[in-house]
Amino acid sequence: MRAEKHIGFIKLIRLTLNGMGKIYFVPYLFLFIFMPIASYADYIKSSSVDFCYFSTYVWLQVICPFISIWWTLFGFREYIEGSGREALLVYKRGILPELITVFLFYFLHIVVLLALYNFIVGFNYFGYIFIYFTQSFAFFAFSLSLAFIVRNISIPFIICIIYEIFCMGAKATGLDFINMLSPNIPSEPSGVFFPYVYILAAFIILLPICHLRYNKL
Amino acid sequence: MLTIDNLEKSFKKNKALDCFSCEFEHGIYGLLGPNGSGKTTMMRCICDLIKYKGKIDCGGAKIGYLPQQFGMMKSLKLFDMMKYFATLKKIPTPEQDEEIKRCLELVNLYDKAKDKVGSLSGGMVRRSGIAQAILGDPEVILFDEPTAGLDPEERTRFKTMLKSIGKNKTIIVSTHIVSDVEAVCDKIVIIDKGRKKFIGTNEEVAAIASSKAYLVEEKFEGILSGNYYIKDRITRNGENYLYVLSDIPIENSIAAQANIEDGYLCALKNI
Repeated sequence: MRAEKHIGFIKLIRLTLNGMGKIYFVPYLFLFIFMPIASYADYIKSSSVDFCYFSTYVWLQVICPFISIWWTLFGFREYIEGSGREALLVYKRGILPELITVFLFYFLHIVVLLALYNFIVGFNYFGYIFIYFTQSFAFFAFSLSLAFIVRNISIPFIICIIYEIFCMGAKATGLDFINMLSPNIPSEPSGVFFPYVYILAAFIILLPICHLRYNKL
Repeated sequence: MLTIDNLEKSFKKNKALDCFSCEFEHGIYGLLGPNGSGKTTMMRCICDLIKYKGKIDCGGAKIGYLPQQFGMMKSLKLFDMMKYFATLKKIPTPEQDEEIKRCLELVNLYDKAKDKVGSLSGGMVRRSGIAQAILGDPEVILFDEPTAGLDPEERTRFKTMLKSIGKNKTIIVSTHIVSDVEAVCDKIVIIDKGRKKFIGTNEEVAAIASSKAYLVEEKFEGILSGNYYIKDRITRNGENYLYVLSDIPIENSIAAQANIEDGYLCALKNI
């Protein structure tokens, strides 16, 4: 019975992601095709391994958080704004476990990507994995929280894009949350941990609160 | 059995449901009412989709629901969409395929099982919605405007299907089309402005209008008085007549055979 429950859980996630059609593959495209090309291009441009290491660190902060919203926002679109929402709500209350599982599944891909960087070119980014996790989780939680409130996926998606562009253009070191433009890679463990732990905690609290809005029409 | 007791629901100042009480036993019930009468709101309350005041008791029975608007992940194959609902309804995995086949055959869609939902026509999507509602053999099934978008053949098929699955179940079909319910429903519930106006069998509904339906020559329109409603204008033997529902007898008129629609209109118009 318990196994049946878990199988059902996985099956639902599989079918949900299946329902995305071709756009399901977008994160793969960014993580495993765009990222290596960007790193290689930076190496060709600068002929410097150090610069390539730094620029890849920055690219990871640009790509990983933003793409984290893809599967959860577009995959679960039907639950948020689709015409099937009413029927789905009758049979299923709460989609938080599924969403978090999909996010963790996504983050597993980032771990694989970091492992590939480590294995193929010797760039070790595992020390910053907490930063990538927090940033990705913040994007994931923010986009869904907003989607639950406004019952729409386009608005959070556009806001995430605008924020991403803003961060790229603002060159503000104060934007520690997504500090893709911060001049230095944190060398101290505290730089990796703070302020990200607060941000992570905030979004861990925010998501379930906004999710409460999901359960009623 | 489904019991609704003093159900109330307001949207700001508008009362969508006002002290609605009703007992639905096993059988097929037609929920008839004009647009905005509270049919959909009542169904949503039964499904616990919206907050409400009052009490709804379905004794823990499984509920199948077809909402007014239904559409699902367009990139999924129809069979996978059904599998999705089968999983949501916790139908054991080994039984799922057989159950999906049964439901798709009932709505005449099994040959489309491998087609993507996005490639189906509006009527087919509606039928797939009906199929998901009956999936898992729920004891209480709610259909909200199930025949909207169905062609006459599929409409007839739906009615036949209702009859075949209706035993030992409580099925509520919400509609404003009288002909949709008169052929299949055991009882009709008339709802207006959130209140239950009448509940009874087809004959009992038709009886509301007995001795109240008249054919009046058009030239006598001016003599109509009291509480009346001109339902139709018809031509018979070259003469133009009004089909009138009236609470008082009309002189120079021909008594007409009242039907369910007349009864429904009389209940709505307080004739």
